[in-house]
Amino acid sequence: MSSTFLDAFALLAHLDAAIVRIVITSLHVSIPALILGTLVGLPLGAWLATEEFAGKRVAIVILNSLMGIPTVIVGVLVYLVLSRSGPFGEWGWLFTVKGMIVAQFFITTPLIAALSRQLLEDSWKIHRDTFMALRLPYFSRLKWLIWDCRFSLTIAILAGFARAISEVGAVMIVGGNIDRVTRTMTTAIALETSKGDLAFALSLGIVLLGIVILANIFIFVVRQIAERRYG
Amino acid sequence: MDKLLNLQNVGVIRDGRTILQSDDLHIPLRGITALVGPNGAGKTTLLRLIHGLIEPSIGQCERPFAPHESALVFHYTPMLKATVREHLTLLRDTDRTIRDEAIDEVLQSVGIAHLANNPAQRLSAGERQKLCFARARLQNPKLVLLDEPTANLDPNASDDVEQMIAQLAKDGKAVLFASHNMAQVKRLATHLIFMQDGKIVEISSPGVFFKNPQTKEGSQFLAREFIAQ
Repeated sequence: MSSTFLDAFALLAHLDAAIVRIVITSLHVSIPALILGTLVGLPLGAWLATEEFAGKRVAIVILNSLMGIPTVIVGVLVYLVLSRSGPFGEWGWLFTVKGMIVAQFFITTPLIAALSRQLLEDSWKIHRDTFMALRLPYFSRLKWLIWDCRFSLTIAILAGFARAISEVGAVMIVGGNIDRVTRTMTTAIALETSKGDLAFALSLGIVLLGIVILANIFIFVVRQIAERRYG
Repeated sequence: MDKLLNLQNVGVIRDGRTILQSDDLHIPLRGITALVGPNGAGKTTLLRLIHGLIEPSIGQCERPFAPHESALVFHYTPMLKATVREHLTLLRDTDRTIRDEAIDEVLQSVGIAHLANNPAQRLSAGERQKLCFARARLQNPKLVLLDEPTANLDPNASDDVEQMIAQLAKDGKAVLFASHNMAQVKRLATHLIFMQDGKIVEISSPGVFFKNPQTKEGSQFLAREFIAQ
């Protein structure tokens, strides 16, 4: 077992080309998915936090449930939509990075929307009277609400990133785990483990863990600085 | 000519409870008008109604000023995680003509220009209230509504706020402020509205009200206030 660890670290130390390529593909999928998920999830969360409408509670329960939706289900659904016989089959996005981004977009969006909804709703209860008394227009209210919660919202975005970068089901189904094209860290780990190349799988696992830890440290530092500056 | 707030059989009902009701009333809003009465009298509700934050459940309320012509300052305003200046620049979302110079000017006028780039959440209660007054001034309203503007402030900060209220009136703005501080009402107000149990009981002047209240409720309220003091 110790030799497996040593081999894994050796691969990392030599910046193995296959590992670098797989890491880049993973980030190439997860970062755009996270950006798109944030662009949709945050306003969706803000809208749910500030608007009152019939069925709001049902919408929140559905959204909260979607937070934990199994990624393989998302994968199958996106596969059906992007497959040749599906409504968007002619785009040719199945087994491509674009298709994987779509799948991860549907994984990150509900998570970011649900978490941000909770954070923004608490802040909305505090600032609603002031915003209304100042007669801020609707989008201005959302903007300042998001601005007020910007440091807390980094946690929601970080959670979205962690879920995207570490999921395996959707990218495996939609991407097909094609070498040099759609192979990500998680799909490669699954494949290499089944093939018995544990050192390679472990080295990717270390990188994956490192990325998540680095993202956490980054968010922690940003929050510390912000809290010192803004109280 | 006086601007009149016309209340026509207005009722504000929340959770099945009537928190404000009036017959046909025409209330002049001019100078500095104090809104006095015990807790739960409906003072805050009336201020919110005049500002347009709430609408009557029944009856009609004709406001003397257009919506953008009034500003409302609460006794406690939670601050955003933003600087003092940002709390003022957010008003650009309602009025794009607000210039940096105008922001500097209002900050100067309330005496917190040196705090412009500080986080607003670190301001003291008095400084927060000054920031709220700066924001109200920046809105350039004709009517300023103040809900217990010196509650929870120390005497020095209260003095500063009272001076700002007087300055608003000097600048030609009508001021309506709710207060439990009768000494403050005597010092500041030129007119007075007494409320109790969600009703406007007496519209008077401080001189008349404190010497010779016209209603039994007014007399009882003053008697309780003096005993409490």
